[in-house]
Amino acid sequence: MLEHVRVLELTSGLGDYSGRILAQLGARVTKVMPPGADRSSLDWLAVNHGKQLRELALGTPVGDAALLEMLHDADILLLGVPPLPGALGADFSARFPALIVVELAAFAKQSPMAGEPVNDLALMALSGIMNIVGEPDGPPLKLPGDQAYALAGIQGVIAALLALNDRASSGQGQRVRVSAYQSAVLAGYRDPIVWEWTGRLGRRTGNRLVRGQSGVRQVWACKDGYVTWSMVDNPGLMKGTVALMAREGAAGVLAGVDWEHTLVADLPQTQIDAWEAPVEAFLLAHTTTELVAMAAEVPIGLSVIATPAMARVEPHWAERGFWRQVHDPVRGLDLQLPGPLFVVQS
Amino acid sequence: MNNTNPKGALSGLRIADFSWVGAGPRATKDLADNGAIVVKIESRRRLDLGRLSPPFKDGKRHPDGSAFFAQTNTGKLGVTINLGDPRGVELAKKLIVWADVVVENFSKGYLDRLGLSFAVMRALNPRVILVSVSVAGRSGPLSAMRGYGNSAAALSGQAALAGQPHQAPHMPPFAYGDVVAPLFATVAVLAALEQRRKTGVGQHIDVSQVESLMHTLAGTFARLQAGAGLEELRGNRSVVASPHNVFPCRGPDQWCAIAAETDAQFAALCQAMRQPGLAHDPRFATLAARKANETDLEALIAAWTRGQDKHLLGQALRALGIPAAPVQDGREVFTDPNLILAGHYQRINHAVLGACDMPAPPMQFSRSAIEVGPPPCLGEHNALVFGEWLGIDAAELERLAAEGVLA
Repeated sequence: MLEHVRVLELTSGLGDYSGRILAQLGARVTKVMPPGADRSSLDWLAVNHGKQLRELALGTPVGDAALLEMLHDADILLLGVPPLPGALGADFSARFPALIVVELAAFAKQSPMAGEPVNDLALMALSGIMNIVGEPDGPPLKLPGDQAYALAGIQGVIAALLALNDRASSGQGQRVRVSAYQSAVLAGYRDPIVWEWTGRLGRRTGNRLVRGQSGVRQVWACKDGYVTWSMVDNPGLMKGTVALMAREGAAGVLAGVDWEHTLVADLPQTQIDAWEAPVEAFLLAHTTTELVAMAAEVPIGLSVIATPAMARVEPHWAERGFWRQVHDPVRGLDLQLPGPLFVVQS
Repeated sequence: MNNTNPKGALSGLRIADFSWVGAGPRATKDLADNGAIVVKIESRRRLDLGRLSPPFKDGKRHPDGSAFFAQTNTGKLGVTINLGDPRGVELAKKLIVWADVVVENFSKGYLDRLGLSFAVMRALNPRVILVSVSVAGRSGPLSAMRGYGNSAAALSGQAALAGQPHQAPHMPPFAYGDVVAPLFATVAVLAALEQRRKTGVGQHIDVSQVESLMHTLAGTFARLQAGAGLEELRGNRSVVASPHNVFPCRGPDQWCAIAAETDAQFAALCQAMRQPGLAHDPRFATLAARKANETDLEALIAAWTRGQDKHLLGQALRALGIPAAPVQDGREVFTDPNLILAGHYQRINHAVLGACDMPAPPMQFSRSAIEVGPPPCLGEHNALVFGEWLGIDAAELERLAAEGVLA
């Protein structure tokens, strides 16, 4: 989609994922690295494959001249912090008026913490998300992977493409700064507004999805693994679930529920607990295979909780062309890594 | 930043937004905040669940009083159409002709049954870009699956990876798939626009919540294939940094995240703890040693952090070059000067909610404006959109409303 777009990437860590996504969209992405920079880690490979690599000693006349030469051909410059050394750190706007500079940083320039050392864990801690992830009696937990960096990386692509859209009509480039902290805060979409409007603080609720005063369970053990199912405000899915349970005489108190006129979000926790009890027994009595087969027959909103290994061999994703083989020269492995961001339906 | 150009980067772009709840609306919110004209198509017969989601103004449930709905739909215009009526479908077609981009997250096949397949849309408007967001995507064996963000967390491997090692899978109390997929949908819209400028034609892009989540776990998938065990990738610890966890601080449920990504950072941490000898202790001198003795190391650090203020501790460690920060709650995030001074929250004025703050996109442009406007009340812009823009006369509109077509 972006085969005509040229991207120069001067990032290390934060922002690498922006270039990875742009490369996946077809852009020609050149990553500039210091000579001898370490690129042996799997994390590095996962967010840098598909890019051209160019080693340049920035801050030396030769390196700076080479970078300037490359900038003449670039549409988008992805910039990490700290800023570029010497003359290259000056404002690009006069020299390259059509260039789009996307600066990826932990914080906005106006933030008191701008420039302070933080990593993905620290950003997730600040974001409010860790406060609600984990068990009620356990410590706050981060989400798997480096999600603050991932979110900022995607927002970096959005910023670049927004500026590209503007340039198409104005002819002018511009500079945009993306905050990884703000990117992570946006992901925790409920707690700040709940505080703003109710003065209530979110807390860790284990596996309960909280809406309003109460929460519904999301993770259930079955005979041979785990599945997800939740009591949600979707009468079709709820009626389907009860119908399947009723077949086996397992609907219990759920048999009489009028789902069309019930708002689960308004129910007290004790009511939800009582209604979830027969579901727990029903799911425990079946294997994941049985439950998935039932869910294929009658939509009930149930899915098996797959390990990453299970997800990787699930035929559905292969059929959609999701995985790409990427060679890891350090370990001599061919890895299957996420490829296309989405499917273009013909 | 110096905003000399008052226009948003998407000024003039027209979007017909049939999506609801979170997975589509978050994408169109971002587009609206950046200047696109987004018309949100809803129905009174089946309200967007966002309108039923707390918190509400004064704690009273009202379709226009949900702050949850508001923050997901800033800056949009709202119309109501009964798509169960063929005349409603004809109205939808007029909007598709009007639009550059259509966004939807219906169940698979619903638009086809209405006679609004992409083939029909394209015949009406060859330049139209359709973006569909669903759990598993529109093609493939699982495409008929119906579900929510929890299904995305389950199928992607995220839930199995979340939580503490050797415990059951974990799902946090919010739908992360409803956060990541809309970002991919926004990328899809913008990339398709860029391509349309070259080709002149639109396309249908199919965004899966599961694929979006798996994309953000690329490094984890790589590690697992290179021999890492699932359990060592769960919890707060890292395979490339130690310590890398949260530590208890003064007060109930108060924590500070601390990480040492290099030996130098660890030595600085030991200095801060007034135990410089730990940096040379054979149990902790190298990353491999610290990983082998991580439980002991964490106990030593916790004994030091307990009783300290989490904010001051984070500040002191960052001053020494150590990545550290307090675990903040909703109040601390809402009142964080780092966010307020950055303009993260922007004030809107809304008919029901009144004056309140809504989050803005996490970026600042040197030229393009970002403007967060109020969300639409249900059907608020029927007269503007159907009357003034689509040219339906007032008498006809009145008749359509009376006969339930605009419900």
